[in-house]
This record gives sequence, structure tokens and C-alpha cells, in this order.
Amino acid sequence: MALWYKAWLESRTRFLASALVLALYCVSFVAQARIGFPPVFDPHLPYSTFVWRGIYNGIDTLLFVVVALMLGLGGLRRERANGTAEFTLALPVTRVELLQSRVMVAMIQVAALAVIPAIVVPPLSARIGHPYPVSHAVRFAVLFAASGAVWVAAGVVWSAIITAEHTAAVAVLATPVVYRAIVGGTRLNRWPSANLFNVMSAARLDVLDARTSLFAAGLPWPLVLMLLAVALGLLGASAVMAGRDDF
Amino acid sequence: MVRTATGLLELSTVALLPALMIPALSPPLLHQSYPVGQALGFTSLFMAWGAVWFGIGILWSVLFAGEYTAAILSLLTPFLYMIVYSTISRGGRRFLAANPMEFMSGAAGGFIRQGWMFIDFMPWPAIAALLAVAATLLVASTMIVRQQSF
Repeated sequence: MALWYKAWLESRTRFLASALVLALYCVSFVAQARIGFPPVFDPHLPYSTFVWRGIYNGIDTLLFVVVALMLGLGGLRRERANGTAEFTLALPVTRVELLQSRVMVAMIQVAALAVIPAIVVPPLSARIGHPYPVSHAVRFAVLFAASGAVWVAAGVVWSAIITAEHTAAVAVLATPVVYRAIVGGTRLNRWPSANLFNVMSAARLDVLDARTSLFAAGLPWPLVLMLLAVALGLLGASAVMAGRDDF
Repeated sequence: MVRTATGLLELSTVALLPALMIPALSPPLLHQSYPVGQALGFTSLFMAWGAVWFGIGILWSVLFAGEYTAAILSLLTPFLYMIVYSTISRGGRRFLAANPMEFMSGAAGGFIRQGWMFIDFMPWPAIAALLAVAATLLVASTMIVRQQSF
């Protein structure tokens, strides 16, 4: 438990600042919908599609991805650069246990971030007279959390490779851009579920109703499980790399 | 001082990349031309807001020592700024020069007329105001560093 607390202390500013900005984004979006919905150029747009475009397929998805990657950063290589790795390594725990606690805290944090739109959007939408179903918001939260797990794992991989703080931050910024270029500009584009941004928004997936942007079917559980498997694979690779460090 | 100057130099290089690459690559790859002067105009707009974000990054880095705190705050600041701007400007309907996306694309002022080219003038007062904001942030950071006792 002490290791979890250590991981929380190291990442809490990242998490709390991100949660605050994401919540403010959602509040601001719904508040502006009071005067900006329906849009002048699309007066028959369903409110659910308006929310989907702004929240579940909006700029905040990029924010979520970058934050998830950032939450995966840290660890012994970073501590070594800071000169504090010796103190952590003196603890009676293995390197894998250190990694586990850090990863678990990051996963919980990213799940909490994924739930924020579901907590903010439905009640505020009801207050402005445009109800948004909680059950659909929760389903998007599950997709965000599952995709977020992969992004966290990618951040952990970067932290196992990169030592310098700002190099890791730049790698984190470049990762979604490069990833999007690869899945969008290659044959991978044929498989919508290969694009994590599609998975988060459910865009181009069979489960989303194209007119209302609400779920026409249940969650794509096989896809969710596959994402968790990918995250586990990345974390396994990070654990192997961490185990090979000889400092 | 050295770090700030180096960072600004690096930022200028990044802002210049489109101005160097687009006019040079457009003829051989697309058989189209793009004027260097226009590209340099956009570089100026990029640099104006880029200097402000750079100043904010420097300020966060001298204020916060926590793990990745300065990095995450630097990433979150543009989002937070856009939320505040969007609220104040009623969804981006007012103060267009204060919208970094609109300003950097050249769409914020009355300086683009046809074909997305600069024809009349550059928004020098707005550029000067943004550079003044950036300079203020850098001066504030310098003063904070001078007061630090370690």
C-alpha cells in the first residue's frame, strides 16, 4: 500500500490538474450549448450528436490521450536522472512491484478521467433542457477507459526507454500524432477498430447509430478485452525492460 | 537567459519549417507554387502565439519542480485557455485575435482577402501585443529565478 501511496504522490498533480481541465471543458461545452444548440447551419442536429461531436469525438479526446500517456510516465529511470533511484531501490521490494504499483495507480486515474464526462454531461444537459442518457455516457466511459489503458501502457513503455523528463513529454506529444498518421495513412485504415481514436468515439464501429450518435447495440466487449490484452502486452514488455536495467 | 535564448531559437526554427518546406516542395511534388513571402507571413503569426506559449512553459518550469508537473501544465494550459476564451468570447464570436488557432491560421483579422493569401497588411499591433505578453512572462520568470535561493 505504501508503494501505491508513493505512486499517488508522484502523479497526483498530473491527475488532478488534468481532471480539473477535462471537467471544465465538459461544463463549458454544455454551458455554451444553452445558446449554441442547435447550430445555425444544422438546425435539425440531434443533441446526442452535438454532444458526441464535442465531447466524445472532440478536442478533449486528444487531451485525454496525451494525459493518459503522461500518467504512464515516471519510474526508476526518471528517478535515476533525479538522483533518487538509490533510495527507492533500497526499499525491500522488487523492480516489478514498483512498476506494478505505479501502473495500477495510473490505470485507476485514467479510469476516473474517463468517467468525468459521464458525471458532468448528463446532469448539466438535463438542466439546460436537453437530456443526454446516462447509460450511453457510461458506455463511452468504458471505451475511453479501455483505450486509456493502452495509452497508459504506451506511456509506461516510454518511461522504460527514455530517461530525460522533457524528452519523455515530447515523445508523449508525438505518439498520438504518429499513431494517427500510421493507422490513417496505411492499410490499417480498413480496420476501424485498429484506430484507438475510433474506438474511443465508437466512430466507424457497428455499435454506433449514425444519425443519433448513440449506441445502437451493446458495448463491443471483444474489442474492449482485446485492448486490455494489448495494454497487458505493452506492460509485460516494460516489465522485461525494467528487469534488465542494471543500475 | 541562455536557456530562454536557445529555446526561442529552436522555436523560430520550428516555425520556419513550413515556410522553408512548403514553397520548396510544392513545385516538384504537386506542380503548384506557394509564395515564400506568404509562408513567412504565417511564420510570423506562428511565432507571435508560439512565443506566448513558450513564455508560459518557462514560467511553469521555474514555478514547479514536481515530477512532470511543468510538462503537464504546459500541455493543459492551451486547453484551459481555450475553455476560458470560448466562454468569454461567447463561443469564439468575439476577440478573434485572442484565439490562437484563428490567429495562427490568419483567419482572425481582416488581413486575408482572397485565396487565403495576405494581400493588404499583417496584424502588427496584435503581434506586438502578443510579443509583449511573452516578454512579460519571460521577465517574470527571470525575477522568480533570481529570488530562488538554491
